[in-house]
Amino acid sequence: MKAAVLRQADGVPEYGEFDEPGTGADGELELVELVAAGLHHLVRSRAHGRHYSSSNVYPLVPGVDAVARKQDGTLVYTGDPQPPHGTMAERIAVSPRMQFALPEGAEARAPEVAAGMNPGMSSWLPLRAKQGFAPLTDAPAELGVVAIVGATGTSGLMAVQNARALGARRVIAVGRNAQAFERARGHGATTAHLAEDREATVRSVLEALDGDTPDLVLDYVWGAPAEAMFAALSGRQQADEEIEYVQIGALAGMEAALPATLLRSRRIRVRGSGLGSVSRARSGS
Amino acid sequence: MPEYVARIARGEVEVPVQTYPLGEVARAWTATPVDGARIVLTA
Repeated sequence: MKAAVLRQADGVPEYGEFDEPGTGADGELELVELVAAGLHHLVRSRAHGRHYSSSNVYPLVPGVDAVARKQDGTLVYTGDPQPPHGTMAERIAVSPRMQFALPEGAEARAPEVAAGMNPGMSSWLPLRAKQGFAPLTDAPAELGVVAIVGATGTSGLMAVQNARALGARRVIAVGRNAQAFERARGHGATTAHLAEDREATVRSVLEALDGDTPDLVLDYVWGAPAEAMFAALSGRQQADEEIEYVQIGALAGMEAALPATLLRSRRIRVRGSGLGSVSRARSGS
Repeated sequence: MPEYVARIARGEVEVPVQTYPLGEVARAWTATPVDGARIVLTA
């Protein structure tokens, strides 16, 4: 079959022939046909061997998720193929448990679904976890103030929309890109500027918070911006509110120094949101 | 996850995309997304 084929970790995938994927020893996988597959940060880092879940087996077909067509013609969002097979191929072998039907008439939006599920779920899951995964048909549980660090990328802007849609009282969008700030404000966010100078970032964040304490922080960049957020949160005098700080991405650095004074002076919990951080049973997958 | 698939499919979430055919994967892989769009390969 035709597929995107990456032959070495530091290469660029080429369009070529690749073996058809099998359907498993007991036929437990189902062959579906590609409609659209997103080129996410996760796809690149996994393919290039830089992600903790990389298979490091080459040649490989990149791709972690896709919108695909089943044999009966229905469209599903699916993913999690077995390496070296990925979703950027004419045919994909996937588990029936990892198939979620698109609504009827949604074929024209297949690229948006393929593009948006990975970055969008990165915030949807921790936001829904904060609500205890209560049914959306009920009145949404209070989300309070949500701060998004690295809010001007695709994931961050989707996080702004998700937080507002799920009932956040305020959304603070922390980022650098002025053009994307306009879009974040258009989605109802208050913006704060990530500056090179930490103190300038702290001032901007505190100004945007305007006396509020974030109930939930979603951090897509980590590194120095996270350290600036820690400084901003440490500097607050009111210490009653609990802050949940969720590390999602590391575009600005793989490490950030977490001050002991922050841990001792605030009610704060720091955790990650990734492939293993939320149980599949709770997330509905 | 099913509820979020439906939200995007119904257009309730803005997701800028930049599409390339699967046959142009090399060009897609090295492309710079415009205005924060997510690159998508299509069959």
